[in-house]
Amino acid sequence: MARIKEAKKVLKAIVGEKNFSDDPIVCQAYSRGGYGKFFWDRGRKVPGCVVLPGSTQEVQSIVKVANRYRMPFIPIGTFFISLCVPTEPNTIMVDMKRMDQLVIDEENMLALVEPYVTYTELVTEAMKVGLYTSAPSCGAQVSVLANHLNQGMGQLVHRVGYANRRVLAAEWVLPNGEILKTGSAALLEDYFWGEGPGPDLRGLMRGWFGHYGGMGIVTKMAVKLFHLPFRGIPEQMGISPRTAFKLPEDRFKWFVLYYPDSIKAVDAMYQIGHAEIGAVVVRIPFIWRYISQAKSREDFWEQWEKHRPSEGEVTPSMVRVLLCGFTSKEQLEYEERVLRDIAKETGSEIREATPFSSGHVFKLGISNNPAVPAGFFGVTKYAFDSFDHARRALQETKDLKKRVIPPFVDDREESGWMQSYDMGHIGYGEFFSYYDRSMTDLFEEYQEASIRHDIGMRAFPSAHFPQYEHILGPAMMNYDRIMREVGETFDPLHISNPPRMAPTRRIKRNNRQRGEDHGNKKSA
Amino acid sequence: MGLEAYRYDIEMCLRCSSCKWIDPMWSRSKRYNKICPISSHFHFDAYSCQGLMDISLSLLDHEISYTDQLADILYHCTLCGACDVMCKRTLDIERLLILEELRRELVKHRLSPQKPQSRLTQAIGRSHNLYGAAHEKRFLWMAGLRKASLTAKAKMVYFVGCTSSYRHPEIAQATIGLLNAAGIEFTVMGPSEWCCGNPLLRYGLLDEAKKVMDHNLEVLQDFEADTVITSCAECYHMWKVDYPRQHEKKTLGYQALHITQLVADWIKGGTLKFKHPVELTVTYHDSCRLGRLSEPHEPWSGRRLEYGKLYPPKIWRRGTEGVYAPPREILQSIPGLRFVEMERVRENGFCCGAGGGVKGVYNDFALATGIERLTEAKDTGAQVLASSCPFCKWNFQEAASLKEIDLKIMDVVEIAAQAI
Repeated sequence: MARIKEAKKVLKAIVGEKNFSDDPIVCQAYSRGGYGKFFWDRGRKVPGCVVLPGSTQEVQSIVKVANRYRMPFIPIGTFFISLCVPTEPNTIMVDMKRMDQLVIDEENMLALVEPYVTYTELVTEAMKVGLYTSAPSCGAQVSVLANHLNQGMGQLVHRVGYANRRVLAAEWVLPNGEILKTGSAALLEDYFWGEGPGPDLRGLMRGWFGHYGGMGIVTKMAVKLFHLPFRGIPEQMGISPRTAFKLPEDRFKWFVLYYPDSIKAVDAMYQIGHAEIGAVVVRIPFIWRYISQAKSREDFWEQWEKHRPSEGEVTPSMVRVLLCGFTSKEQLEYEERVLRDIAKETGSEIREATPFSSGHVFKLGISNNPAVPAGFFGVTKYAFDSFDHARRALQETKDLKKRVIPPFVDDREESGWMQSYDMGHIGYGEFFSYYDRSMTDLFEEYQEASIRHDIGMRAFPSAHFPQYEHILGPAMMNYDRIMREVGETFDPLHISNPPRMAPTRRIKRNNRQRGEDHGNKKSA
Repeated sequence: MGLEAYRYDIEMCLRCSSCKWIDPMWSRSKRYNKICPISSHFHFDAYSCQGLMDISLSLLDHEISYTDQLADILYHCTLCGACDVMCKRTLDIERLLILEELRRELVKHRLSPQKPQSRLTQAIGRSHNLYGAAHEKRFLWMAGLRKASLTAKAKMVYFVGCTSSYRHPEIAQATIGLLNAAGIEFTVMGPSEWCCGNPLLRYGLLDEAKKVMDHNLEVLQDFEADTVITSCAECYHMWKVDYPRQHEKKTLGYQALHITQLVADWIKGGTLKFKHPVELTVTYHDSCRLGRLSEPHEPWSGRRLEYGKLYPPKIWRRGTEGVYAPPREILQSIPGLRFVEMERVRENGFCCGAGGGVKGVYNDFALATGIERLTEAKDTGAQVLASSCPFCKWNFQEAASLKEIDLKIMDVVEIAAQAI
């Protein structure tokens, strides 16, 4: 229609002809999910166009055009998480690939990143000056900025904390096109400080689990970096697919603590947190021993069928701990003594583990190995509270799991991944479900049942599932109403990745208000 | 096979973007972190393996049709296989074979670039080389040799290839020099040698490629040879991988070797000695089809079981056993030569830009990709960029000249020949 044609003309003028495309083939490449494919991208639409902005000013102009012509827009980084698939016609995909500037401030231990800087790039450059951050478990190929906005889970978070603690100042193009600078950037051309002035707007910007582009576009962000006990790129080893890098052996050591069940494992994880030692503290599901070593899917199944626990047998708990002598060799020695004491007190067998996978916690290169058993995977139980809660939430999933196993892969797991954040202040837990493409519908049912189950046991299911906000909202203090108010204040036209910021919002199009709520049920 | 045969692989794309980057473990800087030429140049996701998988799924589901735009994207791809190897770090799925299948579909739909296609088919059909040059001149370069000792009924045949014959005869001459210096009995196909078929196959012209492949196989049989040596990465890949693949076999009874594999063995075994120093600082470019793509074809037929398991299990070509070490061993054995590595090496190598038919269809883009690689080479402080493929050399030389990049482009065999 004429309105859309005109808008596209304006967008082309903003970014330049070669950074604009509305070709159906080009747009097709932005219409599907990745992780979460076939169910998180239900109702997908092919976008109206794709733009590649090169600056904050271009981003602002694009957002203003979107507002003027009432076209939805979605900012994307590496687009691994599929909750950014367009669901409205004529969506403008704002692909941030040209905005990839990275500046590392060694003295102040921070990095200023634009949206298309990946963790691989950041950690590589940071290591050269003796700094690092935690690469997320979804892989080091993802966007630093997007990941800090939305999640920020990686194994090194035991020490460096969840991403919400690592965001400093930011430059933010709001859904209405205004530019807001937070923290020190509001006063100075310097991004070193994130708090205030006034209310801490990082809560609005990312909250606990982010908004997937539902609150405009962050075009710059400073993120904390942390001290490493060496400078330079570590020695790199191996040829694909078995590659790694070697960390200094006098400063890094891996241990595994073996427990017959998760009760003692959790006890140990708490104690390690209390003692404030370690760089990584994670309970790994037994099945992962075979996933991570598998040479192929068939190899995985051969090994798994040989070694998996019998039905009904409690899976052993392995807690992997990375100790690091950040300050000195003596610190490493001290932490090892403390860890061995904890192991003794909690009755575990402790063994020094192979350092081969050290590189992966700094620059995880294999983000897709949950796909090894069956091709598709999804997290169906999140716990993001305390270790005790994580353990209970995961264990009480047994009956729920029976509904889907079979046909889902039976991981014979009484617990799941449990990870320490912030020295044990947060105990994170998740269950993976491993399933085949043909079981996608069942996975969706399972996911909803899992959320209802969490609500039933008064757990705190992660707000990772905005499409379930009609269920979560009423059970969780009607938080979706706050989300809706925030959304309506900042994005009155609801064009910033609709249906984010509460799918229970009403969507306004042109000057007409739609009577029905978008997609899902009304909130209570 | 048809695109539908790859539906499972296509659906399995998890959009992780690993296909766009080198292995994070081997990253040494932000500057040289990308691995996909089309993605790093054009940025749009459609110009990437991930985007092409989404597009393929939409084609299979009849949401879109084959178009000129799709042809434009696909024919900019050098089919370097970086995406294939990076994806296979974790996933058991094909990627490069799907891109090649898409090219065949475009040919069927008459959407492949018609002028270059017609030029190519005519050139090879009429003159048996991709340049359309006179076939009689294919072995003119031998006149430049001071001495060439060929053995009439040798078991080893040196397959020279079009680019060495017509564009870079110094590579063929150096290869012959090394073979003679090592005392190897070999021969050449002479006027019976036709183009290996690589440009036709990569273009998607399967039937035309089969004709030349069958011809060359017959010639090899006539020679009763059991070993084919090449000095070109593309020819090597054809003989080692593609010829058997067309017959759904792992091997056709002959051994295919690249000259660098032989020279490295001769050095280790003492058959060849480097006597003269070569006082140069040299870096090495891993040609895609000699490196990450050179594992043999692994025929497979079977079925898919629950959870996507294959029965019988398939052997996956993940780039682990590429010819990475021999060229390096050669260079590092040459007295006086200082060898330095680029950042993106071995299976993480960034394509020269010429392959996959790109040089013939989109030369500007081929040169832009070449310039990217030359910049990386220059940053090592090297005086020479060495490769093991005349096609790589051709593109690098043209790119270096265009941008006045002060870097000499040589083949490994040329450097080795100076040292013997």
